[in-house]
Amino acid sequence: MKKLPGICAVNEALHEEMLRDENVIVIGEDIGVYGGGCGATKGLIEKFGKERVIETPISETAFTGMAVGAAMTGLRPVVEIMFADFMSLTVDPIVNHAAKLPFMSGGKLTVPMVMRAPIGYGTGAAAQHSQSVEHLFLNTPGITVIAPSCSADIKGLLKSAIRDDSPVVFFEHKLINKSETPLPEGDYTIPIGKADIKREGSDVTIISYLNAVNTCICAAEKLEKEGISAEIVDLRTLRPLDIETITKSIEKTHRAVIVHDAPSFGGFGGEILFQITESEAYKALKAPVKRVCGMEMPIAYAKSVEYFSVPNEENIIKAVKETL
Amino acid sequence: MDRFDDLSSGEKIILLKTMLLSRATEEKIEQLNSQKALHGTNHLCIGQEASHTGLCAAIDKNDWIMATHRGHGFYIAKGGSIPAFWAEMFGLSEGCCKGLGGSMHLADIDNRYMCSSGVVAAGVPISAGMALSLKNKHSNNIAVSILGDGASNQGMTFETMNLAVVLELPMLFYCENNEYAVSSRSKKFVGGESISKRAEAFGIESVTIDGNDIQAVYDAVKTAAEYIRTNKKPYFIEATTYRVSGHSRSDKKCYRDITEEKQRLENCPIKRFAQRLVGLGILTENEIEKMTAEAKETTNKEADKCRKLFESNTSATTLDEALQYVSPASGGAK
Repeated sequence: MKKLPGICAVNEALHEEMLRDENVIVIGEDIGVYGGGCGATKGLIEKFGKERVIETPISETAFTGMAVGAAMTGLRPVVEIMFADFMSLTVDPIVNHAAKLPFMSGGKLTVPMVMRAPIGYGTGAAAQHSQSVEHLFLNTPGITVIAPSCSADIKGLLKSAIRDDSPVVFFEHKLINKSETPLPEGDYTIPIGKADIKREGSDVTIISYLNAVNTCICAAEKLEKEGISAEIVDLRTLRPLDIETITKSIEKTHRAVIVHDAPSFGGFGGEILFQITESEAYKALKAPVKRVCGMEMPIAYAKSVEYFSVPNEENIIKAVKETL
Repeated sequence: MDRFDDLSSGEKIILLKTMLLSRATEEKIEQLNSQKALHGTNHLCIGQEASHTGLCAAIDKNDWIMATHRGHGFYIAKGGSIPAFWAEMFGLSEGCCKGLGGSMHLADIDNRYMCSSGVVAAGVPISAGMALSLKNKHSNNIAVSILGDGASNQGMTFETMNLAVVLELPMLFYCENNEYAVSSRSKKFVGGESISKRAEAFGIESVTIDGNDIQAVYDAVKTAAEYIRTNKKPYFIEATTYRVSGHSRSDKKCYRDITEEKQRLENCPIKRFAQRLVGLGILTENEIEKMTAEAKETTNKEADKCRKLFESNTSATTLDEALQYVSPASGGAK
């Protein structure tokens, strides 16, 4: 299989879905000949024209609201937000409208739309272009949140998201966008809400998502050399959470570490842990669950700070060893 | 293009009947509010009947509208079912939104009353999206965004005015300036000359009209809709009116004098239109009294029926039913 960067997976999924369904449109800033902030929309305007590739002024609130209205009335918009950080400007249309209109209308309306945005640290983009913002949407029933870790999962899940009738927030980590991993050709889809075992192991379960999964894989390879076998559960979809895959793994390994780039306080790790404690797998645990998260600080510009304020191999290895 | 004067006597009578039904419905809600008979809050549009009735009569029945928290009148004027309205007000499963939306979130897709948002100005960009769908399908219909003077101060409104211009959206911004945003007077909080002048600055054709004169509303909306369909461009109407009721159920109106309300009631749109119809010899005073009583009977009968069902806990929407309407968070590609 060809290895291609994550951004190519996004681009392929968009091309294929726009070709498959004429109701799919894309909306966002600089998504025309410029090809989008990260290059995700390259070639779309040439192929599908400006009726379906809708370039907008810098008005995130308005064009996200516009996507909600278009989704309600027959189109399937895919909105690009240039950086996930700017999704703060889209919280009202997503949280108050996309998530609630199907409910408030007693099922008369559906809002089939996807909000996609590059997320996360790693490019020296500093505090307002590097943060993890998934928490903004995780406590809102009615929204699906997707956070893949490799090109294949990006393609398979983005295509499923575009076909889904619920509003989906889809994160693309900037480092994954640049990292080359196998990308299946053709109509490749992955069901939403299914976690994936990225690495099998027997001593500890590491639960993660987005680029932190890749950091975990590097840590697991080092642990292997020390004779410690780590299983990695890549959540891929955060809401709905595939708790079954997590608990099945813990019942096998009896130990768990949760890893995410977002700060620990109020982070998704707390939810994962609580769902573990509510499950049968809790009885299988032989040690307290550990978490490795972003530090309680904004992402810094300086590389010397940026890379050390998020989970890295060393602190993941340390946390794993503390559970043994 | 048809003008108001071209409407037949029968059509004018229907407009008056709609206004009377809207008024009677809102007055019934006032009464129920005073008896604490309804579960939630509501926002009444007494005194604004010419605005919603004139607008809905002048657009095509397949034109889409999106209203606000003060949407009862638009729902009725767009042809919404009165039994489904009252069932919604009492949270019953027969409600137009199964009782899950309530007063602020009415929706009636069959009549192209798409939905209503309770977040001031949030419906403006969503209406732009409705217009985008119409444009994408090369439809000749238009989308109407209902907003108020309060929403005219929100950034989303400005962003959407610009979007509508640059994307050439077939969209009517219909701003009811009813002089109040909760307790805030628009005279105090709307900077500049007028709301419609703001639209002009974006390059949108705009006009300010007397929103209490049904003829002025009807003719202005006809002109606007025709312009939008022909030019494929947005249009902005500011309809001036007066919010006779308080902002919501709990508003004691401490911020204004009762004499102000009395004075403004002289400009009642229903009274003005009824007098005109009498003057034209279309209706007599007696006939109008009879029509007023009929409107009350129509709405009160349904309200009382739903109240009984609510109080006896029959027909209430269940939690299990409600959960079905949360967007399928179960996920999975379709």
